[in-house]
Amino acid sequence: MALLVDVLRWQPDAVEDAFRRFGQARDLLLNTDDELRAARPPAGWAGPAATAAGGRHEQVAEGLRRVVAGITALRPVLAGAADTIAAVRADLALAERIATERGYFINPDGTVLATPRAQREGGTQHGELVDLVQRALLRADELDDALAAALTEAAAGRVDDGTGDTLSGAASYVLGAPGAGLPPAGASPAEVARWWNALTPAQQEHVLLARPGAIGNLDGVPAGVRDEANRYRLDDEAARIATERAQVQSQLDAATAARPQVPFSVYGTTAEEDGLLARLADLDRQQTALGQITEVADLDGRRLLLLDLDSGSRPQAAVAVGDIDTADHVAVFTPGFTTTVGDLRGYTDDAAALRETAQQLADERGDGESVATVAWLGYDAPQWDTTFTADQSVAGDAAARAGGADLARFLDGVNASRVDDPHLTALGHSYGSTTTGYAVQLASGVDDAVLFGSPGGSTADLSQLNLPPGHLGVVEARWDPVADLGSFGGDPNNQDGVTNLSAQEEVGPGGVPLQESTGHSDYLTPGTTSQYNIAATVAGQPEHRYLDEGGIGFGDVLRGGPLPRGF
Amino acid sequence: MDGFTVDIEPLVTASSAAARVAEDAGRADLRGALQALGAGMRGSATERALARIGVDWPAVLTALAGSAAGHADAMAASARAYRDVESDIRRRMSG
Repeated sequence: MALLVDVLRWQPDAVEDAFRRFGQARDLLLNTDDELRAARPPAGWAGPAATAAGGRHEQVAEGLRRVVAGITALRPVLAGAADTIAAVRADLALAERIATERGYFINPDGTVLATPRAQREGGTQHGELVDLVQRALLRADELDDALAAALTEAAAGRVDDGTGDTLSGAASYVLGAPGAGLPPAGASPAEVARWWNALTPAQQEHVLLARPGAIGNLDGVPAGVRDEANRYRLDDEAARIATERAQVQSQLDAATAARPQVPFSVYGTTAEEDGLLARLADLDRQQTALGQITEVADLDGRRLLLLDLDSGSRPQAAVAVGDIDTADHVAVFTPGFTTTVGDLRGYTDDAAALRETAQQLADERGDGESVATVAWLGYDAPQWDTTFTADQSVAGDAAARAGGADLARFLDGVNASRVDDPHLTALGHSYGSTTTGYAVQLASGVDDAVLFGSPGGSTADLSQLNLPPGHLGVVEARWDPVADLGSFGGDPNNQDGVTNLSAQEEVGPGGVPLQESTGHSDYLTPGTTSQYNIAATVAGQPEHRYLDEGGIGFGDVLRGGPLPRGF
Repeated sequence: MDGFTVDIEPLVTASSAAARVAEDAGRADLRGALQALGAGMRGSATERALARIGVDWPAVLTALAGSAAGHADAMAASARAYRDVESDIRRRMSG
């Protein structure tokens, strides 16, 4: 059995790192599948050299299949190892505390002795302590044995890789039939989370490898898994676009060739050609978006939680900064009018800067709680060219309602995918604040919301928002005309029950000046009072925010309110 | 069999693909993963297993990468040889 003194030296972080590194090694090998196939000696090549090359290729392919099979068999065993070690260590720490308090001594080998003090005081915890320590060590032992066995089998090339000829086939063979399918379409994030948690580690691996497209955007699946699945999909999507583009181009060439070709033709393109040209343009847009998303996802510490190039009117994405699966405070930021994934880099940078400010506040005033943020571009935000399209116009709330429903699922998914309950804040700017308002009407686990530069937060009746009373913050900067539109449920900064947060110049913590933000686009600029206030909300420190007692803008005056600030 | 038949371009393509397989297999860092695991499980049966296989398993991968590189080189050499023969024959026939 493992010795207590050894188990106490085990490091969950290092084991988690090993799990991640094995995954990277396996992914690198799986990505060579196409190359491996292409490296096969060409059909039609015959002769002694061809025979030798065929043998060599098969030897390399079979060897790589065995390595992939070994890593694939090892990963499920390793998947929960870090958590198991952390739990074992927590149990042993508890035993140690009880022992110290009650006068017992736990030997390095795990045996428990009653000191004279415990004997004198008639202590009765001996059996309880022995049981606690033994159970913890047994659990450690089971994990250790399983890992050692899986490693030995893998390294010896004894993990059966099936009869297929691809690396991905070897991985699938090892993981076997999932036996759990996928959750039904329309399942709630809570149902999705229950389904995921009911799978064995091997089944989870199987779903991840075999169906990344089914879980990458599935609300209720842990963020780390979604990220991994969506990263697989980056290559798949590139291949899909390239394949479809070649097909459409070929159809277009055929259609053009079939059209009468005469000099100075009076014939324009046919309806079929127009359709194919439009599809080509759409595929080009998807390809551009994929490049933009990949660039952001490749930055350090980013997690790709949503990748959707073709189901909406425009490509959509969501990128997290920090660890959504473990952070104590999670904030989801939704931008507004004219947003596309072309803006993903900028909004993710905003989310990163906001996280940094909030984390700083948590470090300085909290007890080391962690923060993660998300830039959520997961809806068809209105564009200039959709102004006169009923369901996508910035003048109407249809896009915000539809986007709000999707955002609500995303927010609920963050909560459902975790065993604990993070402090969750929904942030919305401009039209994104209206979307956020609708989301907060539907989502069940949002703790705070801040709307900034808001043309309306979706309702005049704050009781319709699923928020604790007093937990809706509003920031309105000077010279922000959008924040005074009062279009969707009225001007938020004038609603009873709203906490108006300052965007003016203030003296910040430690006497550091905070700058005023003006206009519609500087609310998240680092060093401003508005960004600080939003960060303090995200960090769960409402008492440290700077309030705006006036809360009146130029538009309010036009509607009969008092003079705006600065007048 | 003394003779041969071959289409040279697919052979060059296959050689390039094999070279990329070699490169990727060489980049898969099995050794780093095993070292991280060893660092996280001091004094365990896992660490003892790692002591036995920690060198061998990455060496298998390195050897496979080497084989793939050799496979690529051999096919490239074959392609060159076939091309030389073809050029030679063409030259003779035109001479």
